[in-house]
Amino acid sequence: MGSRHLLSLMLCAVLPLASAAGLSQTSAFLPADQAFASDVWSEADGHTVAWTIAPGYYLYGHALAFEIDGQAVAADVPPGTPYHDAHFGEVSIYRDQLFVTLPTGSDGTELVIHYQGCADAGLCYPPQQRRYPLP
Amino acid sequence: MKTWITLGLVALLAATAGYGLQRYLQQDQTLGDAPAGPLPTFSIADLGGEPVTPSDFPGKTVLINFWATWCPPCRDEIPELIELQEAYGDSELQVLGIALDDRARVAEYAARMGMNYPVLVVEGAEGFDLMDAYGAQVGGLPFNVLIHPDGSVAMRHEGAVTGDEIRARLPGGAS
Repeated sequence: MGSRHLLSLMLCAVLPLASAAGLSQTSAFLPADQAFASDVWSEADGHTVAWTIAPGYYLYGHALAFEIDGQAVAADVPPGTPYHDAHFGEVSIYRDQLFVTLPTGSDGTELVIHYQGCADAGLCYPPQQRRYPLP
Repeated sequence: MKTWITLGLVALLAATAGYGLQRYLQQDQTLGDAPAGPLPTFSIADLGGEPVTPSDFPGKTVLINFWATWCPPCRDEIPELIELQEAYGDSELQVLGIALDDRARVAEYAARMGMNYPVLVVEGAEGFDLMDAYGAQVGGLPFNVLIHPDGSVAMRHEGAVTGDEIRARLPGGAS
């Protein structure tokens, strides 16, 4: 085997290993928008807010809040999983997916959703707020 | 000649693989090099109202710990940071806590925990901007930056960090 081929072979072996070992500057955690991807849609019976929660991440139930045109709106939030938090005490958390419905009559032009969550690996995101125009 | 080239390449491969494996086994949440350019600095009032800057501690390694009371992994770190300050604070290390939180809540928590290092409070979004300037990538807490006395960044770590991980990065590799 020529030395040029040997060099190529070795570089092929070294570079992926170096990359996998974390020599790049990539964080081990997802940005909040990827950890807790939210979406909103409207139907005849009201608005639905949906979160797709990445594996290893969770949302706190007590941090969920909804406003339409600046007014707090009561929402139909499904029961979460009981969770003991050293700071917040007994709380509910959500993993995987969460669907919240805002009942008919909650009309307006803009919906603001508030939420907060953490990663099991030991990182918490500050309270998040996203705005959605309503039809 | 070919033999020497081969031996050199094998040595390079072994060294790189060894370093890479070590980093991998650490399950590393430590980020890479700091952003280009000079390190950011700050002057933030502590709980007593006195402004504190990193340059107030010449000759010491400074650990900047961004945290909040609403962040469980941040609270988990506090006892270890108190221990580090107790063990190395006289000469080697200075812990600075920057709370991105409500001042009254932080004051109550700091008193309850007996925090033995300066606790600075930033109530607005500029605290997260400062964290970004130090190289945070996803804006979550805790975020720790360890700066050696020569100004070099020894660690930038997103997520919970242990006292041992910090000790291992002190200039003498204190144990």
